[in-house]
Amino acid sequence: MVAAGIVMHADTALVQRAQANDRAAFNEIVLRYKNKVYNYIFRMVHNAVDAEDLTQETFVRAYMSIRSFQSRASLNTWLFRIATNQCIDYSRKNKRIQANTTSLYEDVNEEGEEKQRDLPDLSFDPQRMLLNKELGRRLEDALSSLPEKLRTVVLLYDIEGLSYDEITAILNCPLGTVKSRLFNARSSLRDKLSPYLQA
Amino acid sequence: MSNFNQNEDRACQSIEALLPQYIENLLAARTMLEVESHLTRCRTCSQQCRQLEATVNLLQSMDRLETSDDFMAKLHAKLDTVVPETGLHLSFFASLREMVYRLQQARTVPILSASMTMAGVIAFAILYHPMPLRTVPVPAAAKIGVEQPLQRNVALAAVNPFDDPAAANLEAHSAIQDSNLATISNE
Repeated sequence: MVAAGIVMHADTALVQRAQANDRAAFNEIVLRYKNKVYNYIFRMVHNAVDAEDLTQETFVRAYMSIRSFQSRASLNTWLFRIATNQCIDYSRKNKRIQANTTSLYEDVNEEGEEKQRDLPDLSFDPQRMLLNKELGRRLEDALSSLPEKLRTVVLLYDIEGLSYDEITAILNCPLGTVKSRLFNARSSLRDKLSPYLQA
Repeated sequence: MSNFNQNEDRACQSIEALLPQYIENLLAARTMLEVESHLTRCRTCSQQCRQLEATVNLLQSMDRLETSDDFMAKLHAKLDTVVPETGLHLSFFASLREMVYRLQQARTVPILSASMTMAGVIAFAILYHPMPLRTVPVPAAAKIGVEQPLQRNVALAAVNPFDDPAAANLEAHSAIQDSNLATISNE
């Protein structure tokens, strides 16, 4: 908690300098947050090139509107809000393409209904490393198959380590909604990964 | 389904709802014990809990990706083509809210309000002057009604200063009072 306070204080100083047109201060902000934002966006869009473009666009927008940044929210929250809006815009633009894209985890039968692939039984695999790698891949697939709203919450909370309050500020929705989305997202992931988790 | 099974199902549902807080140690001590007690009895819930914990651990230990090496160079090229907004587009109320928030953060509100009150009192003391009494215009008819007897009395007093009807009345009245007093004292 103390560390978070120190980071926030350092962020505030950086923001004040950046608001006074100090490009070096803005550069420092980018270096501090670029990987966090990129990780989040990549797992939202599942495309490395697009994720990098959207990350850049996030920082360009932040640079343009840094003077209207209000110290009420943390810099972290503000950047993730911009990133989330970028992902929503991207998703709207690519909705048709996304609808035609199937997850590796899921398949489509002749009637057009989605069905889960039969997962190989890895319980007797002696190579634990391979299993972990496979598990990581399955987790990425399971994440990408989650509805966008659930995926956003689980990425922000479990992967980026944001608090409930920060997520409610980013998504502009009530705390109860955030909690229930997190519960549903985790349950869905657990169900999809259960064959591997047992192994 | 027997009552026992129904109760167990209900218990499992409530426990499942508590598992996210349980794995993060966010439950009250008593609820924590209740969940633990249920998990030792129920294999299904226990398995669900282990899997949920494993899922969260997996999520938290996912690979951290990094941007490409030329990320900063590309970004700076983009930043060179844009101009930061001035911030003047903020609405008046947004600016006001921001100012109040900053003041609250700085905890200067009591000092500021006391100073403003003092300034207000001083300004009032300096600037306040009692309003002069306004003369109410008297209607011409009423003016004549008041002025005519007055002028008559002044004229009479000028002719014979001792022939003042008001003074004569007053004299007669005091003579009556003196005779009454004398009568009372004699009795």
